[in-house]
Amino acid sequence: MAERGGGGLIIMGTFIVSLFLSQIPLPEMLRWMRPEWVPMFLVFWIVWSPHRVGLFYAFCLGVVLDLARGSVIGLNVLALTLIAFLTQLLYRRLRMFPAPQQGVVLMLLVGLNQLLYYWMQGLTGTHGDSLLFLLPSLISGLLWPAVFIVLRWVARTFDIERNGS
Amino acid sequence: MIFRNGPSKVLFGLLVVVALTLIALDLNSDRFKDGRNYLNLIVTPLQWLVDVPARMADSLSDMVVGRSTLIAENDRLRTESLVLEQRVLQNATLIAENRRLRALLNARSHVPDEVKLAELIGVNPDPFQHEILTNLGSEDGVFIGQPALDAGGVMGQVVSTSPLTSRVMLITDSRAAVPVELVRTGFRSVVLGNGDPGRLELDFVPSTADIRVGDLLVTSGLGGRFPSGYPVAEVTEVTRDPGRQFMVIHAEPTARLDKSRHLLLVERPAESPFPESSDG
Repeated sequence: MAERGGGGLIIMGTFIVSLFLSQIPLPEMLRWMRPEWVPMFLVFWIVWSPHRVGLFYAFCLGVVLDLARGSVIGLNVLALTLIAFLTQLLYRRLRMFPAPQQGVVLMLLVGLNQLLYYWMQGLTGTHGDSLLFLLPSLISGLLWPAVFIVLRWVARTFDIERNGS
Repeated sequence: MIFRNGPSKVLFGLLVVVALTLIALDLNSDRFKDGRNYLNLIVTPLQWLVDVPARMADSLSDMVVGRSTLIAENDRLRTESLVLEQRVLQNATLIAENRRLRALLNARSHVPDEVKLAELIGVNPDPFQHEILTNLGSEDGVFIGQPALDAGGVMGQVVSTSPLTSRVMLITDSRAAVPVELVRTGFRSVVLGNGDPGRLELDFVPSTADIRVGDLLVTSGLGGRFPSGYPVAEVTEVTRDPGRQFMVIHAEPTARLDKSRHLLLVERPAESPFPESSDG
């Protein structure tokens, strides 16, 4: 049980890193190209350890992300909960795929996240006429293999068991 | 075994309902917004942490800067301060003259604005929202709607506060609007942000209005939110289309919105922003 608790802390730690990465300022040119770190990390942990990370994690992460972004509370909550739910449906299949193919699925998931988030944000007054907001999903998909390898290393190093059938 | 039938749909449905409730509450309830101010404290450590690399780079460059560079900078600052002092001297006489003339015109005297120096500690990563984070919060007396300036002109206004930080919406945000007037002609209008970081728009300017490229727009003080007389933008493009009723006018913010690390928050004026019409 003690190990379990430790694993939980490590998972929390990686989520804090993902929040940190999603907040660091980027140069003007790369403004649209920020990968969506939080959904990526969330998908990884749900695929890796679906018995431990699930909808509640998604919900709490969503609240923190909303606060950090200054958006209406609930937007990221909704988007991340949806992503988590879809990943829970898909995780057995995702494990079968090679990393690049997982990247394609991730791209779709993050794309959905972006669409939902910006559509809801449009309801609250911010409007943009650019479709560039979909770019992060592409970038996230391309970066997925690297993120996967790093997080898998973290999971193995800290003995976070892979579970779920 | 409990996951044999896939994830819990009931839990998912429940969480979605909770999320929608949160959205509705945040949009409609003022009390929820007050609570949010305190919730923001959760992310304050994160925001400080994100700023650490920038601050370290600052202090590092302070440390390794050479003696000769420092001397050169010191010289430059000294001459600059001399020039500025000379201008201030002139200013004093101008202010006195202005006050006399205003007294002659029976107009209200202009009160200089008090400002608070704030430091930028973060930028909103969402490219659709042009917001920056400052290191002063409601504990320091920052309030929602407080105008923010930098050395070049108006930057924006505070849109949300937490006890230790506050968010400033820049004038280029697609939700932002600033009442302005043209220095050259006194023509009044409203400058709108359109989500483009280097460009502002003037809507509904009749095609007969006298506006040229290079005209300076300053705050008019109408609307009572921004103090009057601060530069906002410079007109960069004027397109007259005979087929349209209004001109298409683009302007560029005079404040360095993406470069200023220090900003000034203007204190609430002691009296009402609207002068009593004493002279009818």
